[in-house]
Amino acid sequence: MLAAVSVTTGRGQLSRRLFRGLLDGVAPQLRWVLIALVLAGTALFGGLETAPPKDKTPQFAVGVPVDGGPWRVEVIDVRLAGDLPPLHRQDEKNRWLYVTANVTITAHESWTLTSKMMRLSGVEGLIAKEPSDMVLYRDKRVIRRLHPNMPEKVAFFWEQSGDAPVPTTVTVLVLGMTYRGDSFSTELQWRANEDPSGRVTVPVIDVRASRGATPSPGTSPSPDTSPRVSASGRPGATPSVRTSP
Amino acid sequence: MKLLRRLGSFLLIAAVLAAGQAVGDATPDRNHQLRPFAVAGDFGTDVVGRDFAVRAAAVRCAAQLKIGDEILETQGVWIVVKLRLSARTEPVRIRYAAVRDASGRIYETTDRFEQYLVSGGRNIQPGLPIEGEVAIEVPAASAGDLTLLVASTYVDHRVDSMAEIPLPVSDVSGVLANPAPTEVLAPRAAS
Repeated sequence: MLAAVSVTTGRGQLSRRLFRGLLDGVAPQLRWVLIALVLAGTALFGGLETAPPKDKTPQFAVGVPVDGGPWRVEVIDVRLAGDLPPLHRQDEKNRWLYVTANVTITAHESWTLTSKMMRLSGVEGLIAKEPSDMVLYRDKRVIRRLHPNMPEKVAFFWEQSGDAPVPTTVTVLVLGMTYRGDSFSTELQWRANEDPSGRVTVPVIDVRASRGATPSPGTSPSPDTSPRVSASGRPGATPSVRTSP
Repeated sequence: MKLLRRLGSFLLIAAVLAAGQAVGDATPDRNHQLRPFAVAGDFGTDVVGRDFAVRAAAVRCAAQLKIGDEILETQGVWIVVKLRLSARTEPVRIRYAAVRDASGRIYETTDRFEQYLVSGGRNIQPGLPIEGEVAIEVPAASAGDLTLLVASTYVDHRVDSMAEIPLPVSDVSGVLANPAPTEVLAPRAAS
């Protein structure tokens, strides 16, 4: 057994020595020749350029569902509107830019922070990154909570500065989360992904001249005998932070 | 001989690692360790949590809700539960109510109208119980097997008590066949 091992080692050393000798003889020259060829070739076309960062976010068409983890979003259209009471703009010159989408909660529990589902890209002058309001098309109520396995058509509203150029197309980024632990805890939670789950480029429909096409959100009703006190000042809004799936 | 000794060492290390893995797998995971303390009770009786007690006094379902002058429809069915809430020794706010269906999906109270009773809007004093109704929308197919969940915590329910009460819901198909709006009882002092 020991003899066989030593013979094998001897053969390996011999073959390694031979390969290294061949490489030492040929490779250094070959390497320099290749580098010179690349430099000469690229110099003819203006030299090497920095490669643009590769966007790994997959592109989706309008109407195609994008899986964001605890939600699935199907972007329908993007519209531009003026005044939409009772939504309140910071300045009367500002505009509303809103995305209409079918949203399905695929997590096993109701989801409250619907504002975390999407962002807009390529739009100048947005007052905030997150949508300021979400409106349920079913009854035009401002909502923040959707329920599992009960898809709803929802409008997400962003306020855009009146001084910014009117967008003709908008890229909607559908954000995603993953149910996982992190570096410090083995507790599994829904945690935000670094990259969006998908992007949908949509032409903007300007409905400032036709009010009928807008969702026209209403105020949230209360039971008749209930004291009308709203700590948040927002109809139907219940801000929260989710820690469970 | 040397080879055998090495093989033995390798097997010993592998066995220790396997035993460690088995012990780790046998213990509850972190989420299980931090789960809420379920306090189960019967419909119509007081279920006592750490800082509150809740009684599900009645339950019905509806195709539409009448909230003020508004009619709220749903793609599923509204589950309307009458609750009687009381504080144990200190003032308490109830901040969470939901139902869990047979598949484990959890549906929280709707935010399409204000529900002060279970959104932390009412401070309940010991000895002064309040009552009212809450509304939750669920798919009609889920309505036959529901468990009510109530907690004083908002979203972080870890290692705190959560009341669990099975709800006897039976009239779903009749309600959907003949939809009629129903009102939701606002919070008031319990009689």
